[in-house]
Amino acid sequence: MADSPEEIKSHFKQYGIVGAILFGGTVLTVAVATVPALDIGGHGFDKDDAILGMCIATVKASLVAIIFMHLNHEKKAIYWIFLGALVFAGILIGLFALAMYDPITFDALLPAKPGQ
Amino acid sequence: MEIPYIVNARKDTGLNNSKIAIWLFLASEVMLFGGLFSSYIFLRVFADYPWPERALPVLPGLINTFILIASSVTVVFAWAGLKLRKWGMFVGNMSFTILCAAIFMVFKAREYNGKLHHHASQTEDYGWVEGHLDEKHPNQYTIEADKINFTIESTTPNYLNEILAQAGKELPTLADPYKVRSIKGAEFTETVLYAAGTELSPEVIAAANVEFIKARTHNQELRTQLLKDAWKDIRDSSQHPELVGSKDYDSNVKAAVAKAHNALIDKAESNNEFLIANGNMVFNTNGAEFKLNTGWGRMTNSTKGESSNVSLLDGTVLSGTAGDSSLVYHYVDGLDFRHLVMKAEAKGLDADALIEKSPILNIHDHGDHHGGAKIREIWEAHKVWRGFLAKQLLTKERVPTEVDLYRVTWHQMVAYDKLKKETNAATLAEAVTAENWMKVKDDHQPSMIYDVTGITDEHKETFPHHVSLPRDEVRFDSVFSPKMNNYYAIYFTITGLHGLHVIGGALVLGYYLFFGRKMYLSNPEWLANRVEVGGLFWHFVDLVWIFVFPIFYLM
Repeated sequence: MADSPEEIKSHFKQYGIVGAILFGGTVLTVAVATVPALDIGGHGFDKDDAILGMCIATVKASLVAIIFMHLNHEKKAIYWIFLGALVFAGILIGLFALAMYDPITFDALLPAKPGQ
Repeated sequence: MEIPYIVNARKDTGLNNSKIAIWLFLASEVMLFGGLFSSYIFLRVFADYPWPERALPVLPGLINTFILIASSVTVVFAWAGLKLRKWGMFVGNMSFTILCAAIFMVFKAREYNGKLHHHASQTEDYGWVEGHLDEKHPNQYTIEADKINFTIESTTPNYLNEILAQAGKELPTLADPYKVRSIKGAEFTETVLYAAGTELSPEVIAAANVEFIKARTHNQELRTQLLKDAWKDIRDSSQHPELVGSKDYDSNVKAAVAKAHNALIDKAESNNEFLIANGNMVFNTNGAEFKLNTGWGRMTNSTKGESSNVSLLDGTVLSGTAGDSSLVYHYVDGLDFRHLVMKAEAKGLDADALIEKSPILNIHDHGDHHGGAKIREIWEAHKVWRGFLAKQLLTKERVPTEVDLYRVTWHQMVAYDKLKKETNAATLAEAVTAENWMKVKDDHQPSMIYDVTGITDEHKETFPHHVSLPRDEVRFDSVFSPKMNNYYAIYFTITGLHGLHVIGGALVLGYYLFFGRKMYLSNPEWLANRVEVGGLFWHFVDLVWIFVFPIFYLM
């Protein structure tokens, strides 16, 4: 990571640009969620809106991690720690998929369908 | 003792120890929040009720997002200031960061306050009405009690004092004498501790409780001793040769012990060796009216004039006749029939017909002619509006959402009222026409700024006021707290935990700001490393919010 004063100063502009992108990304997320003309997919909130919103959030979060948290030039040990955490977090989030594909309880968990 | 590698990097990792430590901590945080977001997905996917989409005010959430992004930028500049040995740059940027944290928490506190003072009731048909309760009519059960039965061991002073305060001068009186027994050798004496007619007081309950615990302890010890005696008797081979060689767990041994034990208890009872252990005291109240907080217990039958009990959490039971326990809303600012529709469709019933019969839309039948009639008027206007919306969406091969169809927000109530004033129509429904219906979600929609400043009195005038919901029509009611549903439970868990992170991060960064000068003068690189570590935590706090905002505020 940057240590010399020159290197640090050279990153100032980058920090500013990332900050601006984060602001812009936030405005974009709100706009696609609230402005009818920008509503993708069906009318109102749906799967397409959720995917778009999460994509924008992921880009924003990646910028924070890469630029502000200096993951773009870190030591190998940090990458391993971070990667390990992401894998475990992924497993935790993925765990609920077990319920989705459990043939015994899946139907019981879903809200009742008409006629049931 | 000097801590190694806090300024210089270790040769093996190429990093100082503080940085390794904070990344390990952040790794655990990633997993913690990952697990919580996983819970959120699970709860949402399998929710058996309409998920509250866009239930939080967007503008305060948006402002908080901007605030955290800005603070993320300034905390980097604060660190850069130390690396460049510019103390002023550090102080300026770090002060701004902490100011951002404070503003963030103010918005968060306002949001929580709004939710925790906003009430909602679910009627028996799964309709929902939202608003603010009338302070003059607190949310309570009213009962004209004939008797109050205290479970003296668990009687809560708080409940007892409230009952005494409401009883006023005519205090409840003991229905039957409270007797106690004392034993000396083979003799026993029975005395009346409190005669019938004794007035209720905390002292009476406390003194009776002392006697009850004493008697219960004595009786338990006596029963244990008799059980030991029974075992001794059964194990005597000369008395029970048929059981010789049997194990203790054999059923014939157990049966023999139980029989012997019962015989010994009967004998002790006939010899009056047990003390009187009465854990209840019943008081007569002669129909006095009591109003009790609904959070303290439950009422068996809330239909006015019918026989009922109110059971409090401490075991106290008030028996008598149900009074008027209606849930009185000062004003109603939201209607929601989505849950009713979900239930009706699951059973293959006509949801729209059921909505028309809903007690929410027929409150005026119960004698509430003002607020109830206004609710009906708003719903009729909403039906006209959603008709126009459906027609317009059809041209684009789209359909209205469940929210559009079955939920009326305060914003729409204000908009319908504006249309009525504009058109001089007789009713709200007549005010909504093919020419002006789009204004409901456009020009006449109150600005988002009111989500920050709060609803004005002018807005409130357009809401149904003094709405009295009969208690027996209410299935569930609550403020918008974790009790409400899983959405609010996970919302308060994730945002509350995030808020604690904001406070913790601000305290650490504030410590560097206010107490870091001495370290800066002696070892500036050490302080820079510390601020970098604190900054990494702060960025993580921002990173979590980047996901919290769209998930909770926009989806």
